[in-house]
Amino acid sequence: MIKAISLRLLSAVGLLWGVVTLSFILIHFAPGDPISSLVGENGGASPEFVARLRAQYGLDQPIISQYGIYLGHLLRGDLGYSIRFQTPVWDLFRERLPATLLLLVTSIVVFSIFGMIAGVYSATRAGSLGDSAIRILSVLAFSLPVFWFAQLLIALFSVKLHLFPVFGMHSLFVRPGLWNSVRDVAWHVVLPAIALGAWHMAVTQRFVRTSLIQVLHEDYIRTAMAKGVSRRAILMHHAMRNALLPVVTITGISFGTMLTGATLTEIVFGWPGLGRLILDGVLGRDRPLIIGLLLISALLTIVVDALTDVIHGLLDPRIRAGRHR
Amino acid sequence: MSADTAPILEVRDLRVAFDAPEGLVSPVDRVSFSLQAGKTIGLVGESGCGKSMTALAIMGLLPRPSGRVAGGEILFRGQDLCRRSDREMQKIRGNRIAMVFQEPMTSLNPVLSVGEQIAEAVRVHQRVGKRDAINQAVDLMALVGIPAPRDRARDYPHQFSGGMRQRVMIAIALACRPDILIADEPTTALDVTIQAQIMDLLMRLREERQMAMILITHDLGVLAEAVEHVCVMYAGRIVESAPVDKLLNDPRHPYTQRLLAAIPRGRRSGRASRLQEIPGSIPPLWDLPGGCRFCPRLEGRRDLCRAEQPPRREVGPGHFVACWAACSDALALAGTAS
Ligand SMILES: Nc1ncnc2c1ncn2[C@@H]1O[C@H](COP(=O)(O)OP(=O)(O)OP(=O)(O)O)[C@@H](O)[C@H]1O
Ligand SMILES: [Mg+2]
Repeated sequence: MIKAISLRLLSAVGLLWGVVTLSFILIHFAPGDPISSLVGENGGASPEFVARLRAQYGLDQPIISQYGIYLGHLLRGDLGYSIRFQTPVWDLFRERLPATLLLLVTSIVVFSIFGMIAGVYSATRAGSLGDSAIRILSVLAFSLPVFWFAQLLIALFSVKLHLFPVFGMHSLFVRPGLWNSVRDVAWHVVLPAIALGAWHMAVTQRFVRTSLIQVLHEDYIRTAMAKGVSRRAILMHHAMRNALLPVVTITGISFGTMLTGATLTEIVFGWPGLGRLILDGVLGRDRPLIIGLLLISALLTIVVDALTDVIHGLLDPRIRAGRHR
Repeated sequence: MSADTAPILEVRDLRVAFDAPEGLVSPVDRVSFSLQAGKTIGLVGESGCGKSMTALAIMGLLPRPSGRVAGGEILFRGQDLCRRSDREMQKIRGNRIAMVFQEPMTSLNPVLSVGEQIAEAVRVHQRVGKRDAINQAVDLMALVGIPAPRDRARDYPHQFSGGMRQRVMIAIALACRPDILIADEPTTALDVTIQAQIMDLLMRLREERQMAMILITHDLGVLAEAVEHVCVMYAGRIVESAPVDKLLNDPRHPYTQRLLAAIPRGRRSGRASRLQEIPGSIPPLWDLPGGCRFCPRLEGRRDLCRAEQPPRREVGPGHFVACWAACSDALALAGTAS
């Protein structure tokens, strides 16, 4: 057990180091650099001033020593200083990561549940009208581009029906009290969560359907029926736990796509998360910011991967046993 | 008919139909037999002849939606099981009629502990608490010969060998003291050394619990000690049915005769000998020959065999055969006797 965990941690550190190194190299060889984009936006400057700025950010050093300095800072927990925002990268993250996590987690949890319900419905009524309707909706949700779907939602529910806010995460004026602000945020998160989660719901529904239909044909389901267990108990107690195993895997994989989707969703909805930072960071060639963002996504992916394994272990005793050995 | 001679289970003209890609097929066709309380009958025949389908039909577990009972009746204590609702069948399954399956390796749920799965069988039909059910499960595990049952109850199916899993399946089947146990080739998937142990266990439990039993097998070797009456199935039909000693010593249907000849001699008399194969194979269900279904595998067939289904004739007390040749023999015998 301890050996497995340390192995995991070691590989996680290796992965993070790889992400840093690779992005360092890629950004270095990409055309343009942070100072010229900064200076360009501010109407130009003298070559001496540009050179001074370069020296100030250590950009005049050879790439190897820049890399060494960055790694040294990183090891001390310092993500560096964003050239574009003129703020420590960590401060930017602290301010914006919670909004992104709120959107991501809400979307994944809520639409995993909806996807499972739809999947169970369509698996237990395979071939029915309801199953066909769900299939069509799923294919639709699967193939809609996020940004287009997001704008559609805004046009319909915000602009036309005035049911939800158009923009942002908070109203300008909220009555005081924790409960009021929670309600306000919840009201704001609905549309972005739908825009982001529809795809995930479609994926979940398809996987639950396939997996459950397969499980319902297993010999042990017949055994449960031979015991006289009711259909409902067979579904909940015997079939779902087995059927969820591949679904958990696919949720872990779909998280990566959701991360990308979150960027687009945040930009369309003006959601104050990391999404906007990614765009600005890339446009501004803001190296510390870009590497920091990549590190965060890598870290989130590693956490989700570990979580997937933990849930698998909880669901399946065969995996649990394998981990002890 | 007096109460103690009325059969506990009577299957009459049972027909099972399936929607297959090739069209509607009947893996079980006009099968009839009856089972007395506390007695055991054997159902034998080659692979694919419809033994499992017959058993599943009795349990009401034919794979849905493609399979169904298309004719005949299954009378349990005089009441037709085919007319029972899903709910009523749930109360009978695992409670009055239980089944042990052919595939012990896949018949247990991999994510539930073995104790839970046995306890569930108890709790579905009896009003007992969780603790009581677990205790009963442990007792059942001891009954079927699983060592250290209290510890083992917490283990999962993958921690058990095939033989042990089949013991667990037997424990599940016995949980509610059923009147009838259907054992569908309970040893086919097991090692030869384990097979005898499981058969002995079943025989012992049958005695102890006074259960009626349907033992499905394609191994005629085990029948002599295990059953009182045998039904031989071929391509969905019962071709011969007789008390076990009659069937083993005086088989009338050519198919039964071949089956018996196919048992290695060593099994019956101690001398080893070559296994005799039955030439030909079972016809596919969607392309059954007209007339007698076995006839294409027989050399000396006549026009009558090809033209018409042989009827079921009684050739001795409780001994029925469906074969034109056997019937005409019988008729000839009857003729000389009178
Ligand atoms: N879902 C199905 N649809 C159509 N035909 C089926 C289906 N399942 C089984 N059959 C057919 O039903 C026939 C009887 O099968 P069954 O399982 O009863 O055989 P069996 O006598 O138990 O054989 P074995 O000794 O191999 O267990 C077989 O010919 C098989 O091809
Ligand atoms: Mg079978």
